[in-house]
Amino acid sequence: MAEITAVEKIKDKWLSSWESAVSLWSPYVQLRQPLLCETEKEAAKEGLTSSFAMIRLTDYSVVVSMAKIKKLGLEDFPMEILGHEAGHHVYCPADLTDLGRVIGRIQASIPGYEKHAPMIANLYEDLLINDRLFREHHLKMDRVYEKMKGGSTDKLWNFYMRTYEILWALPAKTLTEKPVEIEIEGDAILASRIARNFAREWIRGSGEFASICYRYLLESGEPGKKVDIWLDAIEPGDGETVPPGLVQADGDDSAPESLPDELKDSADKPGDRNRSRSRSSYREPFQYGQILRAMGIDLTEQEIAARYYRERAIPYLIKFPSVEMPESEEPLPEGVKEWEAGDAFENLSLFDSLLRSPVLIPGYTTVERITGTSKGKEPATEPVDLDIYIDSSGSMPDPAVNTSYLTLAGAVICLSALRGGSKVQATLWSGTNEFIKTDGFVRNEKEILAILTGFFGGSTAFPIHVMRETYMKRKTGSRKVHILVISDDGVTTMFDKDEKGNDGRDIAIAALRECGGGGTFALNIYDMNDELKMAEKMGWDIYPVTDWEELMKFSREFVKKHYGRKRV
Amino acid sequence: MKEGPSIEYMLDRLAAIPAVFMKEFSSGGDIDSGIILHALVNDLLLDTGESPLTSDEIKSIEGLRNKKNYHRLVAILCHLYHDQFFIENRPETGLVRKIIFSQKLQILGEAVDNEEIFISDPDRREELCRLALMAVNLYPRGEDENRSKERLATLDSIERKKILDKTRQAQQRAREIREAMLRKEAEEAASKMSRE
Amino acid sequence: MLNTDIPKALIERVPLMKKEWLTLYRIMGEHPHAPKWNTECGDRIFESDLEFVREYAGKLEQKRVEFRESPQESVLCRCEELKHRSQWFESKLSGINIRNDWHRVPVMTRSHMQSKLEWIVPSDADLSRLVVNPTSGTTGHPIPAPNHPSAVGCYDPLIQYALKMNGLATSCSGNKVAAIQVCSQQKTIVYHTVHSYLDGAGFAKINLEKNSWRTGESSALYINDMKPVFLSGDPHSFLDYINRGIEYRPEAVLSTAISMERIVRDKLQSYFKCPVVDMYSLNETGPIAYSCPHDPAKFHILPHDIFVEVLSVSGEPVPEGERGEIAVTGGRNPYLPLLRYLTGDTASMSFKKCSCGEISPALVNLEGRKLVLFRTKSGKIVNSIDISGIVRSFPVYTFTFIQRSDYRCTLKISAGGELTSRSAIFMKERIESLFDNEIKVEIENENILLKDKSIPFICELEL
Repeated sequence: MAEITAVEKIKDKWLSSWESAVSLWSPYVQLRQPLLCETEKEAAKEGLTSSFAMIRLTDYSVVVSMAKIKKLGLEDFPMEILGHEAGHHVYCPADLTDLGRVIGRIQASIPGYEKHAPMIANLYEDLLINDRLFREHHLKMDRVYEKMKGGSTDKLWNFYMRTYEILWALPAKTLTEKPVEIEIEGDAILASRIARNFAREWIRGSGEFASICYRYLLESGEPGKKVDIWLDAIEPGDGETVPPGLVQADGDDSAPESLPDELKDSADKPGDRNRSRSRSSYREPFQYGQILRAMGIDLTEQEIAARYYRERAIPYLIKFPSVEMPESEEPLPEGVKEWEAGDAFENLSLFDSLLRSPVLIPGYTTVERITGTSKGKEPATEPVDLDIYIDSSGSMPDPAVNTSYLTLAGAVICLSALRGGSKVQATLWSGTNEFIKTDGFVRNEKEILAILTGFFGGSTAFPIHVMRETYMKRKTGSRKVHILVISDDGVTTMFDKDEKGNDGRDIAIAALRECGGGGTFALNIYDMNDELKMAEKMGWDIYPVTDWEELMKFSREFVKKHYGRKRV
Repeated sequence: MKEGPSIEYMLDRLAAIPAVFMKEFSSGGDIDSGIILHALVNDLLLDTGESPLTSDEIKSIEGLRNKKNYHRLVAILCHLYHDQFFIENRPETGLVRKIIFSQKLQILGEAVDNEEIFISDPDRREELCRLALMAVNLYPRGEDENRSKERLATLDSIERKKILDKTRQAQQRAREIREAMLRKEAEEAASKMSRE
Repeated sequence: MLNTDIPKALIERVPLMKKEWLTLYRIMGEHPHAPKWNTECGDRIFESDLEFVREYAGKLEQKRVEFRESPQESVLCRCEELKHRSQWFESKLSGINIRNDWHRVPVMTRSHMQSKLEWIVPSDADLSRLVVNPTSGTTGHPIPAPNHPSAVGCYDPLIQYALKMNGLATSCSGNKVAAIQVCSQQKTIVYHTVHSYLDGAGFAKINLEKNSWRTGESSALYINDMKPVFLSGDPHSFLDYINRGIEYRPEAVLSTAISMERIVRDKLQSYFKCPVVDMYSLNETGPIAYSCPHDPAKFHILPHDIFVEVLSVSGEPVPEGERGEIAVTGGRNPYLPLLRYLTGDTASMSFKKCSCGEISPALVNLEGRKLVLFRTKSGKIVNSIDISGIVRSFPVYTFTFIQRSDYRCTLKISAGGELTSRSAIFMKERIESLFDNEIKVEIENENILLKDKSIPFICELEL
């Protein structure tokens, strides 16, 4: 009984410290009261097992295991611990996007050990948070670490502790076990410099910090017990929320000149590497997936690819063209207003006025009618549906691994079409009988993206039968469709015979006639062969792109070229 | 060793360094307007109870004109010592003179890229203040002799440069190899007919 | 459209590509039942590399060596030379007269190769041609090793030699498919290429897993049409080949990666009716030994440029016939010179004259990585590679996966707080899906370091 009241007492003391702990970071931030679990069991239920505390960014919560706090003898450090947890919420990582960016940078610095990125990120964030609490708020962060000192020979941990000793001017062996080797001393000096120099732009320093830790990861064969206690922000997401902004790579825009000399070298290197790995300012799909997985988000490769291309497509999204429909309706009567003697006589609505009063008194009982059509309103339009055929033969990259501009262009056009109210039929094709397609024309983004991000990598045979079945039995008056084929010279397999022996050329001509919205081939070709010239004669618009990146330009021009809508 | 002023006191003193101390020094002619360094040193020596500079010493100071950052360090030390504390609590005779002409100061000047760092960088500021105290047999108030020696060792630019060079060498090749491996693994391997 | 120009991308991968090799290359790639290729790969061999490989092939035949307890002169010379170029050799050989005191040279371990790689790689090595071959991951913790195209190129003559000694008379060179490497796992790279050293002969790496093919029959049809001179693979993939009833019989079968037990060898022999050659080879060392045609339990040392010894736990050579750990010195990989590198496998040495005619010594009773066949209740075989692939993508330090005789599985891991409970569930679910969700997998976090040499896979099911 006495035990419980003791715990309660501590709990009260901790809860009353919360507000001031949060205001260390910002007087304006509101965070939920921390959940202080009395027993380890209760803490485990919240997902807290090896550490004494944890944060969840998705619901702004902090969970602390009071049982562990007591065990570790940290009851007297409520401001230190709670201030630290609040720091994770307010300072770093603060939100899931920044966490993802940091994990991405760290992963680039620790090849082969990407799975340990969340741990390194946690150590780095702690370093920054603790340094600020120690220096600006004079909290006893050193005492907290000192309390937990003892017994760890883990090199990574000793390097990390030595970094604090240097940062806080603590005598050697305050936090470390024994005098450290010269290499560790050097690493700790560098790490302390990073903590200071990148305190404001903390994301930028994460890759540098990780490259120092890399050596220790390589050598370490065992999990560091000491590290475990501190893993309070190892997985602050909910395992489902995918933050936006991670498809974009963090261009290493650090100007090394602004760094102190001793950091210049280390800062140069990872940047160079990032540049040589991918010139573009986007991550590759596999890297994107690696980050999400490190954040505890378990999606299939396909789901990751769909999200990846969706996010990359968004900046390009355009309104899908619609064909203008003649404005048919009569102006709609919307109501009446007073008609006064000075108003135009033709505006007077006798009918409405007499409805109001059998006696006409100008200015009193007379009204004029107001109607619904107003100037400047766009004419009514009907969207054109999209029938898109994407080549997935062996010459194309697997979109789930590396950036496929083919898939990206497909995503841009399809998502634009959906935005414009159109329906989309998407077909991914490779060799004979190798195709997947949406169930007809649909408006389901997920279904469409799942098709676009698929992969065959086989031979080349255009799915003539899909086109045949789409257009040969079309009802008259169906919505217009634009046919778009993205491929290379393999597109001419469209003119081969289909499985029933029909001439593909006849089907292509008929489809183009029936669809009513025109047809385009966007092709990775250098010159037109005879068959393509024939296709052009049929009426297909041929848009050569010499590299797939040009497709992005195509996807934007696609609309203008065919529909050229003019505003009224 | 005796207790001297606190490190904060020294840092404040350093922060208050007059701008002219950080400008181009006069070479002795009458056209330029900068301060004359040996005159500054001479003043300091007199005020802390030492004998004035000899003509050989003046030559020696001027002779080190091209030693990287050395003159600046001398000027900063002059400012640090030219403080009420040191004037009232005169350091043991010879000590101020010794640090000004020390090899240590010359090497320290070599260890950094530019002189501004002793003012702008918090670690270097602290190092210089601690060095100034240590040179006149003092340790900062609130610390003890061992603690202050250890902290100075941690901050020691010269030692630090050695350590970092060594660390960098070790990391450099490792990084090169890992990067080459990473790059190649991402690209592709060379075809072989058996697997392991 | 038959384009007679060699595509640029192909020249990058096969720099010595000739126009006359294109036809075979294309037939292999564009066959209607070809696998769904997912990568491109080539020998990356330049003229100078080709010369190196040819010279190597010549020496391999002519300079067979007969060593005993101390290394052959050529290996000693290489060690001496490396003293000036590799920090590892310099520090480990300092003060030791390697001609007299070889046994005093400290050993190199797997963990050294991971954490001290920069010491081992010669400081003047030009890293621009470095390649990294992916390891199959049959062990729990594979080591990615840097390699050079010319050293990888030497696999061809080494393999040819082992096959020839086992009775393969047909040449692997010229306008034919020399080999198909058969894999059987959820996902792996598949590609086709031609090898310059074999004058444009074809090679394909394929995966029997059905997702890798257009139709259910494609794998059999493809292999049959390609008619490879030999098949390479591991016992697991050959058993899958037989299970799938693929009819094609090559002229030789080369098994690597996992040691082949008697019962498996007999099965392969009776199915393929051709020489079945077992080769002991590691990613970080290259081929070490091949099975003797007269006694397959015996493995003759294959390359002439390595020295192999069997050591006790304390690093002393054990007497002939006694079991110990295999250590390799030398090799041809310019990035990874070996100095008493402990492979982690055990055997005993035999210096006896062999009836097969090979003069190099032999490893006897070699215990390498064991074939472990995990199964679902309905009989589907689960490849251990797929399990280690999943486990290794999580922050787990070491693991042992056990399937009990009642099909239940336990994954013992050593992991810290980095492995959150949510990730542990993901990991469990992924492994369970390998077993078609028929079998429960329990995860036990021991949180203590399982020994480096712990066996990653144990199966207690009866065959």
